[in-house]
Amino acid sequence: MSEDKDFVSVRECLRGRSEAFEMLVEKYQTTIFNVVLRMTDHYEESEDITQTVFVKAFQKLDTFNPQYKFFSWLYRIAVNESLNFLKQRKHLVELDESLNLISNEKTPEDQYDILETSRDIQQALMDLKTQYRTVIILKHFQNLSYREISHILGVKEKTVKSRLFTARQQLKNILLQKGI
Amino acid sequence: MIEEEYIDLINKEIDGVNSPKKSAKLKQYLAENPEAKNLYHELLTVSNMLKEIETIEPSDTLKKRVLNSNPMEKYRPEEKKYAFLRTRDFLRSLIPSPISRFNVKYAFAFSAGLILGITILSIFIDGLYKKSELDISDLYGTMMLYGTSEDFEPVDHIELNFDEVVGEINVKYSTDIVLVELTIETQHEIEIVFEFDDSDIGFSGFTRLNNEENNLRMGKNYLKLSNIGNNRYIIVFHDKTDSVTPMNFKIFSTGDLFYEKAISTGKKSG
Repeated sequence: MSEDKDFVSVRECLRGRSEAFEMLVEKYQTTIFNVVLRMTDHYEESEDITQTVFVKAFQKLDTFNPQYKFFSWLYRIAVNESLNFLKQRKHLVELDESLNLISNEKTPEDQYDILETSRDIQQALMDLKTQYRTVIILKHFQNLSYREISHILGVKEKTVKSRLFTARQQLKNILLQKGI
Repeated sequence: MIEEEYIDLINKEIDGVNSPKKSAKLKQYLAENPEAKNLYHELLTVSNMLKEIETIEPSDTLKKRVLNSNPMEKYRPEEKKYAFLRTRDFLRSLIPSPISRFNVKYAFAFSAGLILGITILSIFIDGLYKKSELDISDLYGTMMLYGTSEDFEPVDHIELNFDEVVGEINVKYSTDIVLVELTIETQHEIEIVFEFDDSDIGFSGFTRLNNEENNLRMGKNYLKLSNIGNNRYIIVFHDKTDSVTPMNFKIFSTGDLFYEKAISTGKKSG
C-alpha cells in the first residue's frame, strides 16, 4: 500500500483538486467493491454500497486523521456500510418470509451466481457470523495484518486473532459439511 | 486433543507470522501429533481455497457513478472565496483580459492612494476648522474703521446716583457714529429706554459686556433693555442726517418712569 501517495492525494483533494480524488477512486474501487461483495454476497447492492463508501469518505475527507492509513479508514467505512446493509436486508428478508413473497424475477444475486466460480466458498462465508466473516475477508482477501484489521474494526489485535482462528475453524467445518 | 498453544501456532503458521523458532517447534509437534497435523492441513486447505477466489471486477460505470455523486466543489477554493476576492474577480471581468492583471494591480494601488489622500486631507481640514472655533463668549468690543478711534469725541456724560440706581452714561461721537457706553447697577429690575427719531438716527449694534443673557427689545424709534445688578452696555447708533439728533434716555422702575434725560448725540460741523 503506497500510503504516502494516498496522503498526498487526500491533501490535494482537500485543496480542491478533484483529479486527486478520482485517483483514489480508481485505486481502491475494486478492492472496496470486493470487500463489500464478500460481506454482502450481492453484486448490484455492492456497487451501490461502494458508491456510498466513496461519497461518505469524500464528504468526511477533511476529518481524516493522517496518523492513520487512508485505506484502513476506507475499509472501516466499507465494513460499516456493509454491516448496515446486512442489518436492513435481514429485516427485509424476515418481512418477505412472513408475507411468503416469492419473486420470479431474476435477482442481482442470480446474476452474481453466473459470475462467481467459487460459489460454495462464498455461501460458506455467508454462513459465518458477520464478525467472523469480516476478519476472514480482511485477512484472506485483502491480506491485511492483525494490526491493520484491529485498526479497521476498532478492536484489539488479540480479539482479531481470536476471531480469525475461530472463523477459520468454523469455515473449515462448514466446507466439510458441504463435502467440499 | 490439541493443546491451545499449538492451535494458536497452527493459525499463525498459516498466516505466516511465526518466527523460525516457533515454526520449528510447531513442525516437531505436528510430527508427533497426527490430530494436530490433520487440523493444520485442513486449515491450510481452506486458506488456499480462499486465496484462489478471484477478484470480481465492478461494472465500468462504478467510477463514473462515484465521481458524479460526489459534490466535487466542496473542497474547491472558489467556494470559500472572501468577498473582496469576488469583487476583485468582478472588476477583472470588466477589464479586457490581456492587460487585466496589470491594470487591476495599478487600479488598486491608485484607489488605495486616493482613499489615503482624502482621509489625510479631511483630517487636516477638520483640524483647521476646529482651530477656528474660538471661544468668543468673553470677547467684546466695537468694530470701527481703522484710524477713526481718535476721532471719537465725548459729547455727553450723565451720572446716575440714586438709591436704586447707580451708574453713568458716556456718549461719544465720530463721523456718522454715536457710541453710547452705559454702566449701571440696580438692586432690582429696571427698564432702560432710548427714544430717538428714526429719520435722524438708526440703531447699529449692541453688546452687553458681562456674560449674561441679553434682553434687548427694538422698535421703530426706541430701544429697550432690562437690567438688574451691575452691567455695562455699549450701544452703537448711526446718524442719518447732518442735523443735531437728540435722544431721550429713560429709566422705568416697577413700571413707573423713574428717570428721564435728553442726551446729546453730537453736533454736526455744518
